[in-house]
Amino acid sequence: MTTSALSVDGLAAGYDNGPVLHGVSLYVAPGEVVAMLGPNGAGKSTTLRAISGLIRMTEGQVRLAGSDLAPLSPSARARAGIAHVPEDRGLFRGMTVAEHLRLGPRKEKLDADAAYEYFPALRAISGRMAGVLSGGEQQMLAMARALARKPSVLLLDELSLGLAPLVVERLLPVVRTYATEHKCAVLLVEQHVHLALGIADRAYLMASGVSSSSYDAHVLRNDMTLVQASYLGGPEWASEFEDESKLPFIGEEAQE
Amino acid sequence: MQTILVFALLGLGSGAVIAAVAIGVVLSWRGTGSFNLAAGASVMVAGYMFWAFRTGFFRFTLDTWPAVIATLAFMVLYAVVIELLAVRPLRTASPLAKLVASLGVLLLSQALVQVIFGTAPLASPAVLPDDVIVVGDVPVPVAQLILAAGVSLLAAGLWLIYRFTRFGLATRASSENEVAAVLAGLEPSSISVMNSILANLGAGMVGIAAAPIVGISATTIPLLIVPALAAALFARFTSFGIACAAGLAIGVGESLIFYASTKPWFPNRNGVALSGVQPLVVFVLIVVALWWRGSSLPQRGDLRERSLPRVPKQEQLARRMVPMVAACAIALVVLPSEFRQAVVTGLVGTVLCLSFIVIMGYVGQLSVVQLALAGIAGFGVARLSSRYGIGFPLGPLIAVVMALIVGVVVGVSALRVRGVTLVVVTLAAAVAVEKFVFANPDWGGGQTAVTVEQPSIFGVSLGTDAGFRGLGGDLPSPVFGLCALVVTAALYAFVANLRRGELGRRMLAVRSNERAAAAAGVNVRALKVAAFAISSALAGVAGVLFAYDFGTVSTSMFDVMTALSVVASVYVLGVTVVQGAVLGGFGMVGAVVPLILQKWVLPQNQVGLYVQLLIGAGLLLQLRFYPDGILIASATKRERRRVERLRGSATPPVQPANQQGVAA
Amino acid sequence: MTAPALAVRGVSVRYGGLRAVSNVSLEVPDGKIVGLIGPNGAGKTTLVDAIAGFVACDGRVEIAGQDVTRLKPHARVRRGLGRTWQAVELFDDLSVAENVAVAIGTPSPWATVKELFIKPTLDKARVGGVLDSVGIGHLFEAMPTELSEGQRKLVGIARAFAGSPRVVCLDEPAAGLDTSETRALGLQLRGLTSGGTSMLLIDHDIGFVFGTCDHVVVVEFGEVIAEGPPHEIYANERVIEAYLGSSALRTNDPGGPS
Repeated sequence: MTTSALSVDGLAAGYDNGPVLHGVSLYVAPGEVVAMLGPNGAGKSTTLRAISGLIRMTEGQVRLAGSDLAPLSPSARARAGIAHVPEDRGLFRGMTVAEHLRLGPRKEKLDADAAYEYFPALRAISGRMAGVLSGGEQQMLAMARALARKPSVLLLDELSLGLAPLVVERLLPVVRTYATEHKCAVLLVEQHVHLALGIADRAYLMASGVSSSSYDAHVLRNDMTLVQASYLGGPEWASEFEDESKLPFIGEEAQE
Repeated sequence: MQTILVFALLGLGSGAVIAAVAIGVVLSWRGTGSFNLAAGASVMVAGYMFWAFRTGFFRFTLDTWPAVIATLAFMVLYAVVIELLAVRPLRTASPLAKLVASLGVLLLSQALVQVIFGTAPLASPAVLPDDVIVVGDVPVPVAQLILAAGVSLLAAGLWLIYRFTRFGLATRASSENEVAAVLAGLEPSSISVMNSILANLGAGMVGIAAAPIVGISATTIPLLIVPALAAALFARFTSFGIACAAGLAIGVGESLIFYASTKPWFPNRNGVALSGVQPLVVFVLIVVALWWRGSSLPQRGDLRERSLPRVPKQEQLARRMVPMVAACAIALVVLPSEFRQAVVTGLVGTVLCLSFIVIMGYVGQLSVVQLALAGIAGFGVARLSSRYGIGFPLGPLIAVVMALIVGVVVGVSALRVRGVTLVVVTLAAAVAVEKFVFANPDWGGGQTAVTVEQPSIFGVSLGTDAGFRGLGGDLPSPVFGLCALVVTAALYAFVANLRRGELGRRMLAVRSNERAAAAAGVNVRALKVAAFAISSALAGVAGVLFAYDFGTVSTSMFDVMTALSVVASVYVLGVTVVQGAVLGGFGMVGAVVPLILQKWVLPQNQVGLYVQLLIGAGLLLQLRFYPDGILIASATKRERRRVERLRGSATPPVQPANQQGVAA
Repeated sequence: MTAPALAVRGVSVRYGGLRAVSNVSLEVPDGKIVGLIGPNGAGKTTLVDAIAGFVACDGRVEIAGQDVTRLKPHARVRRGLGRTWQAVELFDDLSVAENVAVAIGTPSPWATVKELFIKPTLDKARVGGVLDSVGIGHLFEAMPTELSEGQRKLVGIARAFAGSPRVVCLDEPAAGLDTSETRALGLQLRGLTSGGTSMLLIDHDIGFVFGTCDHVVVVEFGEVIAEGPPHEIYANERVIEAYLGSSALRTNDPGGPS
């Protein structure tokens, strides 16, 4: 079955000081928005970095529309259709908004008009340097750049970092619209759980470098205990406040 | 007034070359993130190649335009070869490693050019018209104007390319944030090679056009990197326009200083003007630029950095030292005079290299001023006895203190900078000391060598002229060698000991992580000054010993290219272990290893060049295969085996450091 | 009434136009552990940087009643401040014991000079004691590059405590530790307070913070939005909002800790 735009299977990866991911498996279908939720240090950003190739994976497989990404360099993965908006937004402070929407490898033509359509506010500031934009404008620019590349897979890392919830509430629906309109697979790491679940179709919970099986977003929305347990403390600590039975993914971890 | 204008215009010629080198430096920084000390060498290579094509050196002679095209084609090839040898393998390495690689390129190019074309300066056939047009009453040489206009056009063209083309956009993007550039699908390595080609084409054109004006010389052109670095600093390694303007201005300024030196009010002695004011001004400019434009270069969001070479522990010091010392002592008595001299020189070289171990190895500050400090002490000890009658032991003591003071002054002026930028300050300081102090007939040697009175105490000579003449019965006396051996062994133990004590721990803490060191209560600035003081004093001792060893001191012993070779050789061998200093010292020109090469392996007259060639090539190979240095690589291997033995096979192997990064 | 070990009075930090920390005041009493929590980007690490002297700030920072606002980082350390980093910043070229030894205290200049000429020694008993206090005495000889992330964290903590500071700022000490390691760390930190050392503890693991701290301060967008004893904070709606997004969890109030 290779209908998913992105599939990750048994991914393990880490940095110099040791592994961070121990077994992450997930898939995202075209046009689907999938959220990754979990406390800091769970390995959500690391998962995105391993998918886009910024860190090397030690085990497992990452497939883009069925083809293995292992032999591809990060730039080749980007050219193959992955757009990764990193936590720091990945902007070039000394370049203007318009230049951001022109920048790309030789064969890639960015669709700046489409980007401006999704984020009309950028048109007025197209001559401004990215470094002087506000946090919200920067995030818009980062997303606009990603969308202008017409990716088949969009990885979004902590869109909301340092932004007021109001701004985030305006940005996230754009992601939803884009995914639906362009059949783009979106994998979203987000700490504003409520907002993320508001636009996501499904979600994975992560803890200690291991992913859970996927939950339907509306299930999690209606029963926040799962999410809450994963956030408000590692499983063990949560158990001081919570009934152990409400923490299903501890059980899954044990099965690994 | 008119004369001033003429001199200003005459300065445009060398100013254009400086500007071109500065532009090359900026291109390298923005294109590859490397701090390119070899940017001046490109101009030199182009000059020589053009000369060779035009004069039939390769058994055929080309006309001007075919020769220009052939030279530029060669420069493209040169750019690609350097990219493959010295840039691409180090793409994810630290800026320091990249800098050292460019030093390897500089040494290699300079040595190769001299081996192939000879060491004498050449006169290149003119390319630009040698007309003079008269504006008002002022005769203006056209060539200088064309050259300056050409470099300005080059800067403007690059600015346009960077501003408006896809390639320029991509370069700016990857120099600002390499991670984001990779995520945008750009290939930093192809961007890097394109920029190298651009830089070398620019340097090539300027080299061809300027060669007849500034002269082709393998000893002067590569060192234009120093004023060029000053210009590049003013441009924050970013702006082509400022780099070009500052380069031209430095050329004009140097020419005006030259004009001023012909005036009676200029500081002089017996009608001879003070020499070396220009490099002194460049040094001051660099310090001003660093304080004014901020301490750090624009950050590149690089993928990852490889850290400095590891620092293995110094263990079983005494047990390892005793046989070495004994062997040296026996060699001093037994060997024939030529080799005895070489052993002494090796011992003194060891002391010099120890000073690099402290400042580069332990504190991680790449300083190239050490040899100049040695020179200060060397000339100091000569002048103190010849002029003031202060002999042994007070003379050498004062000389060492002088070196220490100058070293601390250089260190303090560089306190705000670290690592890569420090090399600019110390390089400029070294050139300034060489031209301003050593070339001064009063303070230094001027054009001639200065004799040094041999040391003696209570009527007993300790110098090379002492009574005991060893088995051969000839000069130099082993007595001085034995004294040098005692001093060297003591300092060797001192530097090794330093690594194990509190001060050394603090140095390594600062080297590893200045922030964390401060958070552990280390006064980072005070510690750096202390390190500069210790390493300057070591260099001073080396200088005094050199003076006694050779019996004379001359400017050429302490010149900048020699200093760069020594830095490179210590880095190749192992800059963080005292053993590296020993090997570096005995590999110095005049010491044992080159003597052996000279006697049996290499052509006799050019051993210095070949040694430089070996060091340059060795540096590039080592950075590729043993990035930490040869000794350290073997020590690390030993240590890892020890750890694995201790742990047994139960635990999984340690994740090797520095293996991550982008799958290339 | 003695002055608190650490007092932060009206501290603000600006980066360009952005206000990363806005008029924050808090006190860490002697021998107590105060937790500092808040969502990502709330300005917690920036506040620690301001306390330790790594960023310039408005307002006052006092250690044991002494104003240290104008002092450089190393001088603050000598007044009794310790800190750790989220990404542990060890001296990778030094062994674990040497890492701790660097922070143990400033020897007199004379002792430092003397050591250059006689065989230097390391105060094994004292370094070992510091390592033992966080339960890593067996790592004495190891090199930092050979350690796991959790062990590196502990070395960083040991180093922060090595100079017998009055107060230590711990930035995410439990991130990257597994559950049992985190629990052990909490106990060790509590144990270290018996020596009179106070702590300002930042962590995302709220269970860990609530289980370890005497008092908790919550920040969002650079401002303090709540403070009080752990059980009060745990029940605070605004805190839960700050963590999980607006109006998230009305239905499932978890109740306070028993």
